Amino acid sequence: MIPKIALFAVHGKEFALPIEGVQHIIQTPRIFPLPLLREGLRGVFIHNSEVVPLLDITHLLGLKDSGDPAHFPFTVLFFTEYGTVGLPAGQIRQIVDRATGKIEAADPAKGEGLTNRNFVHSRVRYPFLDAATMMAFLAD
Amino acid sequence: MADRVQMKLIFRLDGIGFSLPVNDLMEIREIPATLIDGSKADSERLVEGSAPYREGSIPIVRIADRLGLQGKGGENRVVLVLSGSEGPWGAVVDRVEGVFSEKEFLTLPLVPIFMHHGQKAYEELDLWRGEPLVCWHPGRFEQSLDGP
Repeated sequence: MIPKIALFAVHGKEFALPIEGVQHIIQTPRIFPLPLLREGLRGVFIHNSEVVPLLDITHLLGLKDSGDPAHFPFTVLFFTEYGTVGLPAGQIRQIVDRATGKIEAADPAKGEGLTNRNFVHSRVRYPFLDAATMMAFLAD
Repeated sequence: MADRVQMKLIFRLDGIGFSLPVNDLMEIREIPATLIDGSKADSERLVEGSAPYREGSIPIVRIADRLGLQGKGGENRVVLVLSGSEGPWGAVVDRVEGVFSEKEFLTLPLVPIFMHHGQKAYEELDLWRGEPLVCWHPGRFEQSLDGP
């Protein structure tokens, strides 16, 4: 199977997700806040009788607070070693072959959020979010 | 004799739902704030003051503070009277949603990494009518006040 990368847009910023880690992409369900959740989580939602935490995409990408996460049209369900996590997403721009671009180290000085790699495609740099990046973010 | 159906009470703080086994509950009271004696307040143990209860008085505890929530406050306090290790005490909640059969709840574990600084104020959620509720245990709450 040829590895694919999905390119998403959220609040005018785009980011890249490897398709192999994606479990589902669903319409954003009802989000429930919970007390004492760690910074970087916006709440939880229910999917197939499972409680799934929702990551704060604005925190990951270094964006300003986007307000209510329910305003994102899509939620990407992602496999991680701790179970499924959700990631809010706006438009799905493209799905491209990984071989048509390259992964390179991000430059923290450019304020590229918490991701440490970019996917460069057609000369555009997309912050690269994979399960390892998200788990490193949670484990901080 | 038929088995007793176990029940759970649902209450809310800042809109968030919590479940509590009814066996842990003595009664529910609405107490005017003016009846709470603030001279018995103990901020370390989140005690707002004491309120008359039966022949004596009980400490009134703002459990919202321990959970990083605001709580509603107001002129009257909705108080769950609970049997504690040192006698009855009152937990202030925003409102009581109702009491429901335990059969309606599906208890699920919460992964500790998702909690702020590994806090263990609660470890499980009850899935009820499509909504996750925090499983709140008064005994564990009391222990958390004694702990570091």
